[in-house]
Amino acid sequence: MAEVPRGLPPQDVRVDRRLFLERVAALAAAAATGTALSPGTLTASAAPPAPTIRLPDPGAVQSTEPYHMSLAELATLIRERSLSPSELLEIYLGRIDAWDATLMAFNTIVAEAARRRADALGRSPWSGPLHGIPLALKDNYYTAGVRTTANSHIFVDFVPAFDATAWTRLQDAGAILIGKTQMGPLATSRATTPDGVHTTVNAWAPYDPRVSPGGSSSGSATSVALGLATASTGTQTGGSITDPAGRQGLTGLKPTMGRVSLHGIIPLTYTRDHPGPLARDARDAAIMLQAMAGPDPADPRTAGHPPVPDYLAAAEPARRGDAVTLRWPTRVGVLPGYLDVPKEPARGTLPGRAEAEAGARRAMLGKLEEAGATLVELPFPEDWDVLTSREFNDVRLPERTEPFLRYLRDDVRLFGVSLSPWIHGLLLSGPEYLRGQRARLLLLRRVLDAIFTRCDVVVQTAPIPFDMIGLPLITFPIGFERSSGTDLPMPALLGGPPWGEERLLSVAAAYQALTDWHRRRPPDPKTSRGDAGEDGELSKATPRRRMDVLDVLEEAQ
Amino acid sequence: MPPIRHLAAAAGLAYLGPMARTGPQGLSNEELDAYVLARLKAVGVDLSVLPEDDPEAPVDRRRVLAGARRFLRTTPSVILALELDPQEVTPSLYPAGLRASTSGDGADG
Repeated sequence: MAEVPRGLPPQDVRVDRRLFLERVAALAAAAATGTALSPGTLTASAAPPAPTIRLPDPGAVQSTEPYHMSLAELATLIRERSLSPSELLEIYLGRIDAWDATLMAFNTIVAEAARRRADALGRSPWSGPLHGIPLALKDNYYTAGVRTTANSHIFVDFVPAFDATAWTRLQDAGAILIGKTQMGPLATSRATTPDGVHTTVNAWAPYDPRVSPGGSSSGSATSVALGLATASTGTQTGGSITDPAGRQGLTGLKPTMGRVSLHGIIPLTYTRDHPGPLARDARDAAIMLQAMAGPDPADPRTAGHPPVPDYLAAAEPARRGDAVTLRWPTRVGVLPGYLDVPKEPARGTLPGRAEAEAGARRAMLGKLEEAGATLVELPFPEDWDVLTSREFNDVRLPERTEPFLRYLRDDVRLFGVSLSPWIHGLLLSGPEYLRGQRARLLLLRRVLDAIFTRCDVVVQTAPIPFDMIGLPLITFPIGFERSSGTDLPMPALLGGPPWGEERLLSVAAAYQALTDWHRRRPPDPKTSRGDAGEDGELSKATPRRRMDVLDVLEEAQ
Repeated sequence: MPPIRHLAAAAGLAYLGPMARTGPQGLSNEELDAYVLARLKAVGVDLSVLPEDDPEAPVDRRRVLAGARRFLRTTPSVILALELDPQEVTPSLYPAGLRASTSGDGADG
């Protein structure tokens, strides 16, 4: 761990947050008017500082099995040449062969291409923490020459000619593609077939498909949780990184809107889609984001941001003497009701879960205080319930419909079980859409004024408000509970101001230095592919059910 | 609708009270279905390829129209009930593109 001094303050206090307000206004205007933001006007931000990577000492690697290790631990072994990229890849491929028939985390495995790349990287000088690390990509990231389906009839045969920018950057940093992961059709719900049959299961409850793996980056979470890949990518429009990461004991980071390029990712909502990592802990998420973030001339949404900071330094736990401490003095905002047990738990919440979550949240805040955080009770910004309501969330739908209109005209059956939101996008008038876009700006202004003038990070209970306004979110595990009869992770969700990723990573890293929830791994399933159908758990498993078009509407991201 | 000068003179940004929620609450299912189908037909989208009412199918016309009616009965009226000062939170073109093309290095922040 690094000894404080803390160095420069994090980026969220070094840049003008009003700049972000202008950016969101511009994106809303461009979306509303169809105005093109010309890539020709873009230039790259100033060169970022070289990231600070402090890998664990080889003796500090705590896991015994490589598939349980964090990305940073594996990078240490690869750098020391104690483990080769090829050896690591084969471990994952063996586990995929054994368990993916049960988990259904992947759509596509690219074993031979991965083997060739691992072999080449094994003979190359170590180039950084992602060197030789096998990753899983959500199946809406373009991968040149590899089918990219988004679990949709529309893209069933789509083979992109180029890679998504975010994936290009991960490859440039040395990552290996092991496979493409299952997702909710077109990034809407939890992972299903295009016609709604549940596919991916939660790695913590592999025989009970009723336990949601989280959506829509379901396979990305399950593959990392059970050790079929080191880390993965997701996209978030309405919780699709933080929900599956939180449900499966991972650390998921949704960056500020535009921090990571969306070029080469199948769109869901132009002004709300956020690519980001799902990883084992804050440091792994930082390693992934460090590679993914930055300006991209092909995506105007990435222009005008401050330079990419040193996320790896931010995620390095700090100490003062023997005590773990937050890297920067940090005020944690606590909104009303955060520690209460709701009278009406959310749909699908099992009895006992809400009480356990309230206890875990209280304990989490206590740990953050132990690390030096100041807790600040805050009221909700004015009109919070209205501005974050389902109806204002619906404002995203015309952006969803526009790029897919030709497919709607061709045959609505192409949308399978996800059809309804695309139809609703055609039913919102121009004035209603514009009013909703302005309401987003009002919400952002009120969050900046009422919340982030008084605190540096704020607890959240749902991702939608910060997804609506493009602010960053991080989730990490803070406990486990057994209301479903099996141990299931409970997550915290923290939001930050524009470009608050450093701060969020620093808070998660300090918490993870004081706890070990992030080190827990689900047990392997009791039956492997070869045993399926015998007298094992698979034969007793609850059948995977089919969602219908109205179920998906309830879950829609 | 209140005159613009009234809105501009009022304190605060949001006017949640004065605007009565108007919407299609008084419309029948048949009227809303006709509206939805006409709107879709106007832009070339055809729901008739779906089964009419098939509980075994993941999607049918009955459920798509039910979802659309629910949407129309809530979302537009809630959105339009939020009255905003025309001088505030106005969508505007992002200035960084112009700044990037005139400042030379395009660096922000």
